[in-house]
Amino acid sequence: MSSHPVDDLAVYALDALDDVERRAVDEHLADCPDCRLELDTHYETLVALVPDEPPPPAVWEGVVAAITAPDDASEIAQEPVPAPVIRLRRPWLAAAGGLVAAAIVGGVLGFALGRSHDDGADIDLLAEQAAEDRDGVLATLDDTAGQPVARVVADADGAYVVLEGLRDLPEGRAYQLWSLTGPKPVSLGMLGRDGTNTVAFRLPPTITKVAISVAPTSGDVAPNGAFQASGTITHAEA
Amino acid sequence: MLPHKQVGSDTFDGVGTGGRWDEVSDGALVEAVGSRDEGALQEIYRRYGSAVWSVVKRVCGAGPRAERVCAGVFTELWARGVDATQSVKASLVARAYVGALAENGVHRDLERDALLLVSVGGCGRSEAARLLGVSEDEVKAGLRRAMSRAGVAR
Repeated sequence: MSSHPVDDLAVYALDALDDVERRAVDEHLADCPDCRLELDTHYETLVALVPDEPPPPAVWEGVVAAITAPDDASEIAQEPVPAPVIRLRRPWLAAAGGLVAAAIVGGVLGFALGRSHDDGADIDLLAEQAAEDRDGVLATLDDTAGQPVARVVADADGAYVVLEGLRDLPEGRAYQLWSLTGPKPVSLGMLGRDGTNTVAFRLPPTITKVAISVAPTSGDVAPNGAFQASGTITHAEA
Repeated sequence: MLPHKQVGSDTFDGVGTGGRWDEVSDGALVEAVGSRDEGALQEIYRRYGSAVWSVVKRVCGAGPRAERVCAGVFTELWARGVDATQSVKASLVARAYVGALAENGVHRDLERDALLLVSVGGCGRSEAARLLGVSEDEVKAGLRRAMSRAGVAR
């Protein structure tokens, strides 16, 4: 019998192994009662993790209110989503996994991350102070005409996107910030719909290029259409 | 011809659509939604509302903000359709996840979100990797750690 695929059993229970891995586990399970028992415990964990909870009635009521609004359905009015204002002690210096908080500790899926919304601090002032630091301006984002329209600034207290030359967007649309560092864009958060605005965000040290798109207020999963601006991050030495 | 039902024409509560749409594929439902058929939207909501809500609730917590994000997923479906490269469920869950992060001002947590997307959202490993901006191997490792912790915490 092959060695016990202990590491793969949990992922097998989630049906998230690839075909080759799954076949290997299947073959092992056929002859290994111990691993079948172990797999049962993973299934029991999953049952506790995944309660089938329908949304409250207010959700559907909200859908109906939006799609039956007299306005053109293609421009469904939505309340603007607040920009993700995050205050972390040293967010842009934090290791990429630094926010792997105690989300699961102390509860099955207790999503109590170390984050807080803006408590009234003057984000503009904080960003201005960051920009005054030596090496505080990490990137200038240019529009498609090569004109600077936004900056990424950071200091020990936080990282900020400062929008300075973009147009205000209509209701239902918002700017979205992306990392272009990997093979595919990854959303870094929403920036609101104002063309002049400052938003605090977490900037992992691995990110080297960012861009801004226009998206629905709820955000896009992948950028839809041309980027409004982009720029390269220059990380200062810590 | 696809069945048709107007939103507000009766007291739909998000639980059932009377069975008329039960045999219709997801793709046909999305196509009907694109033709402004509210009954098709109801059926998609009936099928995937729980998954979308579960994802949003786990990121935002229950409350008006989560309800707004969850409703926004379906109004976006109505207004702009879904990502044709994904399953309908994966597309809605992905939109819910991104919307919930944006609404709540939090950023991704590999272990939490890998488990959330795969177990609650029903995303495949490749889709979870794409959404999280990491490799499939990293998703797999995150799932292992998350399941281990969940088992201990249970």
